[in-house]
Amino acid sequence: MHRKMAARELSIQVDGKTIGCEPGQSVASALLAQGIYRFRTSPNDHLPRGPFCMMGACQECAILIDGSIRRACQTEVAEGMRVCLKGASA
Amino acid sequence: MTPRTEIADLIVIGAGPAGANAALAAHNAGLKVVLVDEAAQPGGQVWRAPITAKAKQSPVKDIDRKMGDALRQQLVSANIHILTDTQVWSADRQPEGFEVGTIGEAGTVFLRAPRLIAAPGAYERILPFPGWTIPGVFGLAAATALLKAEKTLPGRRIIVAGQGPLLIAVAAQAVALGLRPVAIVDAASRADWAKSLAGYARQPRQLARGMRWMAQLTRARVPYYRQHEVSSATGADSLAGVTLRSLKSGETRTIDVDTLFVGNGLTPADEVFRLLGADQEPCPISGTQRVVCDELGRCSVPGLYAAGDAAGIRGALPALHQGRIAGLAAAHDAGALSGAALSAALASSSRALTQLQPFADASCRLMRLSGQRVAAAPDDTIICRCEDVRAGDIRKAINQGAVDINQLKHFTRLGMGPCQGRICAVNAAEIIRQETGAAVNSTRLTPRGPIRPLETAQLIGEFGYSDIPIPKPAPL
Amino acid sequence: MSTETCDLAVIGGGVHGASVALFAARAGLRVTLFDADALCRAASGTNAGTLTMQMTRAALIPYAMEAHKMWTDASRWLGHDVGVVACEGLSLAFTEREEQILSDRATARGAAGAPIRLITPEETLKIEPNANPGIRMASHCAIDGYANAYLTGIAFRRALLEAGVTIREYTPVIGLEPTGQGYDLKLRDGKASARQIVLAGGVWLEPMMEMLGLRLAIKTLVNQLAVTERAAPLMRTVVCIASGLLSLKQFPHGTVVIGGGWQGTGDRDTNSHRATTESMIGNVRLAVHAIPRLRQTRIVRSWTGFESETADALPALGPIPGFEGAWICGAVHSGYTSAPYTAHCLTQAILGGEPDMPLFPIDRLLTAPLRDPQRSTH
Ligand SMILES: Cc1cc2nc3c(=O)[nH]c(=O)nc-3n(C[C@H](O)[C@H](O)[C@H](O)COP(=O)(O)OP(=O)(O)OC[C@H]3O[C@@H](n4cnc5c(N)ncnc54)[C@H](O)[C@@H]3O)c2cc1C
Ligand SMILES: Cc1cc2nc3c(=O)[nH]c(=O)nc-3n(C[C@H](O)[C@H](O)[C@H](O)COP(=O)(O)OP(=O)(O)OC[C@H]3O[C@@H](n4cnc5c(N)ncnc54)[C@H](O)[C@@H]3O)c2cc1C
Ligand code: FES
Repeated sequence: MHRKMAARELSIQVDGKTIGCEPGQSVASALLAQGIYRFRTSPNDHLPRGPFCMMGACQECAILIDGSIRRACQTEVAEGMRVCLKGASA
Repeated sequence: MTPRTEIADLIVIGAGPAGANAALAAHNAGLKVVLVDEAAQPGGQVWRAPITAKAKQSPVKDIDRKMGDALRQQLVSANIHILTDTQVWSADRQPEGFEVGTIGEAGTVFLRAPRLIAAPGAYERILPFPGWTIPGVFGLAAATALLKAEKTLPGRRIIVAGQGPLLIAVAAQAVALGLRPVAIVDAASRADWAKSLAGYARQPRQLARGMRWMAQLTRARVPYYRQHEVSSATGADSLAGVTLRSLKSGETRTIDVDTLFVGNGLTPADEVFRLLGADQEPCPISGTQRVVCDELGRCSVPGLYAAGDAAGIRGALPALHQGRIAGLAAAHDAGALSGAALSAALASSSRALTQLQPFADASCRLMRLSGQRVAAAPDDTIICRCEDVRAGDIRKAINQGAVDINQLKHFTRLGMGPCQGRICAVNAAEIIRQETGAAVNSTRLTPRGPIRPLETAQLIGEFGYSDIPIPKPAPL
Repeated sequence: MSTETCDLAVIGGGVHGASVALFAARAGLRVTLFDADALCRAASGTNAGTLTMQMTRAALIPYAMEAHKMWTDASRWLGHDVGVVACEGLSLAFTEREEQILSDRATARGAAGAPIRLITPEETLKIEPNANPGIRMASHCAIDGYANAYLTGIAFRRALLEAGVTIREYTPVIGLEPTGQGYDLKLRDGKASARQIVLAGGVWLEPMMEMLGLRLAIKTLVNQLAVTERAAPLMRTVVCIASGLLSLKQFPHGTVVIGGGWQGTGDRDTNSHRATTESMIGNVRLAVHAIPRLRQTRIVRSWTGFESETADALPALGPIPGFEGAWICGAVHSGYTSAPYTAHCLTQAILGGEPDMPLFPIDRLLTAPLRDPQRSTH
C-alpha cells in the first residue's frame, strides 16, 4: 500500500475529494482504481452508469472535467484537475 | 477566426497497424502524408502504446508490444507528420478530393487532400443482457486497452466472458497481474476451438502464445465454462452478481463478482465510408455491412481507400499488410509510383495476406455472433444505453409499424444519444431483422456527422459576432 | 394489388399530405395515402419543430396562429402526442441594423395578428436569464413553442389508421393519368385509381406536377440542423435572431436543437443531402452568441432536410387548374407550423365547401405547360 502511494505523483479533485493517480493514467482508470465505478446516471431512467468500452465509443464515461463534458476514458489526468461525477444532463 | 486548413497529398485516419503502415508506405513513395489518431500515441488497439510508468516498465514484453514499439520507432525515423490526441469528426467530398475535420488541443483543423485512407479500426460488439449497464460491467476490449496502456485492471472478483480469442488473452493477463478470474465464460465449445486450431497453426508464434495463455489459466485453475453465456447481471450502484447460463441445457448459476469483462467480437468502424457514400456489401462475419473495396483497398468513391479492421475484421498482421497495400496504391494512383514499381512492392504483402487469411478466418469464426442470440434478448434488456431503450420498446415500435431502423429511432429515440448508435445499432438491427425479415440495408442508421460528439467550445473556438457569416435575412 | 377506386388518393405523406388524408377520412371519404418512403421521414419528420410566429411570413400569420392553437391541442384532433410545448418566443438584435430589421418585422407581423412587442434587454434577461446580456433589443411573442418533429410520423400513423386511411409506404407514385372519372396512379408494381388526388410532395411537387404535364418551379432549400446531447436546463423560450437565421430551443428531455435555415448541400433528384461544416460552425457560433452557456455542451449530430419554396415564397395550396378533382398542398414557408390549418382549409375545399381562410391558388405560378408530360425538365 505504502509503496503504491509513493508511485503516485499526481492528484486530482473528484467532487472535492483529493485522489492520487499516476501520470499518463486516464481519468476513468484513476477513478476505477479507487473503486469508483459509478460515474453518472442515465438521463432517461436515472440508472447508475460507469465506463464501459474504454475506447471512446460508448460515451458512458462522459462527465464534467474542468468544466467541460469529456470522456473520462480518453482524458489524461493532470495535476489539480477538477472532476465532477455528473453527466451532461445533471 | 476561421479554422486552420492543412493541405497534403494523402490523409490517413487511424494510426493502428493499418493506418500507420499506409502512411509509411505512401510517405516512402514520396507523398506528403498527414496521419491522424485520437489516441495519445500511434499503435491502434493491438499495438497500443504503454502510457503509465508501470506499463512502460513492465518486464513482460509480448509480441504486440514489440511490434508496436517497432512501428512507433519507424514512424519517428521516417518523420511522418502525425496529429495525435486528435479526433476526426467530419469527412466530406470536395471537387478536388476530401476534407476531413479534426479537433484536438489546437481546436478545429481541416485537412484537405486528393486522397484519403481510412483505417479507424473496429468497435466491440457486446450481446446485451439484463444488467449489462450496471457499473462494473466492461467490454473485453476495455480490458485489453487498460492492460496495454496502464498494466492494470479494475476489480477484485472478476469474470471474463464472451467469445473469441480476446477471452483467453484477457483472462491470462489478469492472472499474470495477480487477479485470478472467478470464471471464464465462453460461448464456444471445445469443438469450435478445435476447428479454429487449424487456422491458428498457420501462425506458429501466435498459436504458441495462445497455448501459453491456456496453460497459465489451467495452472491457475480458473474455472472455465464452455458453451455458456452471461444471462444477467445484478447490483444496485455497481455490479454484485452475474448469472451464467448453459447454451446447451439452459441451466443457470449465479456468482458474486464486482467486475465483469464481456465481449462478443468486433464490428468495423465504418462511419467515414458511410458519410462519404462508399458502397457497402453484406459482411458474413458481423452480419451487418462492410465497405466494398478491391484488393488494393480502393473503395467505390474515387480517391478513398479502406484498410485494416475497418474494411472487415481480420486482425493485426493482415491489417499491417492491407495498410501497406493501400498506401502503395494511393502513391501509385497519385502518380508517385509506376505500375511496375507498385506490382514489385505489392508482392510480399499480397503473399503475406494470403498466408494470414486462415488465421483471420479462424478468429472470425470464434467471434461470429448469431442474430438469434441477439434477438432473444428479454423485453427488459436495455439495447440503447444512452436513451434506455429496451428490447420490449423495440418490439412494441415494430408492432406499431416501424419497419426500418430510422423509423425505430423516431419512435423510440434509440440511437439519438451521444454514442449515436455506435453500440446499439447492430443489436437493434438484429431484432428488427429477426422480427420482420427486413433487409440489411434498411437496418442501418442514416450516417451523419459528427463522427464523435464535439465539445462545442472546441468546435467554435474564439470568435467575434462579425466573424459569423450570417446569411441574408429570410423573406418576410 | 387492388385496383379498387378510392375517393381520394393523397400522394406524399408529410405533415401536409397526412393532415389532408386524416381530415378527409374523418369527413367520410375513403382515402389512400401514398409515400415513396415512410410517413413523415422527409422534412416533416426531420425539421426543427419550431411553432413560431417570428419566422413565419407575414401573409401566413393568420394561418399560423390558427395552426398553433391546433398543435397545442393536438391530443384533441390528432389524438397522439407530438411533444408540443407552448412557450414564449424571443427574437434578438445584436446590432443597430438588426434592431431596425426587428422593429420593421415586429410591426408587420403584429399587423398580421401576431402578439409581438419590442422589449428591452433587461426585460429579455428576466424572461431568458441565460441570453447574451449584450443584446440591444428583442421582440417578444406570447404565442410560440415547438413540437418534437420526429414524433410526427408515429402520431399521424396511429391517427390515420384509426380514421381508416389506407397507408401505403415505400410506394412511390410514378405516373398520373386523368381518366375522366378521376385518376389512375401508376405504381412500380401495378396501379391504383382515385376519384380525386392531392399532390403533397414537398420539394417533389415539381416532378409530381410534371406527371400531369405542368411546370411548377419549386426551389429546394437544404436546411441544416444540429443537436446537443441532453444538457441541464439552459433556456425555456424559443430564441431567434432578427434576421431569422437562428432558431433555438431546449426540449424537455434536455437536448437543444440549433437551426434557423443555414444551408447544407443536396440534390432533390437523388434525395441526398448533407450538412456542411461551415454552416455547422456558423450556426453553432450564432447559437452560442445568443445563449453563451451553450458553449459547455456537446454537439452529437447534425442533419439536413429539403424545404420547398415557390417563386413568390407563398404556398401552393388549392385546385390544380385544368384538372378536375386534382389538388396541390405544400411549399409553405415554415410549413410545419401552419400545416394542420392549411390542410384543414384545403380539405374543406376538397369536400366541396368554402374554406375558413382563403387558399393560395397556383394559377399565378404556372408557366407554359410541358409538351411531353413525362419528360423531366432537368
Ligand atoms: C481491444 C481490441 C483488442 C484486439 N486484440 C487483438 C489481438 O490481440 N490480436 C489481433 O490480431 N487482433 C486484435 N484485435 C483486432 C484488432 O483491432 C486488429 O487486429 C488491428 O488492431 C487492426 O488494426 P487497424 O489499424 O485496422 O485498427 P486499430 O488498431 O483499431 O487502429 C485504429 C486507430 O484509429 C483511431 N481512430 C478511430 N477512429 C478515429 C477517429 N474518428 N478520429 C481519430 N482517430 C480514430 C483509433 O484511435 C486507433 O488508433 C483487437 C481489437 C480490439 C478492438
Ligand atoms: C431541416 C428543416 C427544418 C425546418 N424547420 C422548421 C421549423 O422549425 N418550423 C416550421 O414550421 N417549419 C420548418 N421546416 C419546414 C417544414 O418542415 C416543411 O414546410 C414541412 O414539413 C413540409 O411538409 P410537406 O408535407 O409539404 O413535405 P414533406 O415532409 O417533404 O413530405 C413530402 C413527402 O412526399 C413524398 N413523396 C415525394 N415524391 C413522392 C412520390 N412520387 N410518390 C409518393 N410520395 C412521394 C416524400 O417521400 C415525402 O414523405 C423545416 C424544414 C427543414 C427541412
Ligand atoms: S468508456 Fe466508453 S467512451 Fe469512455
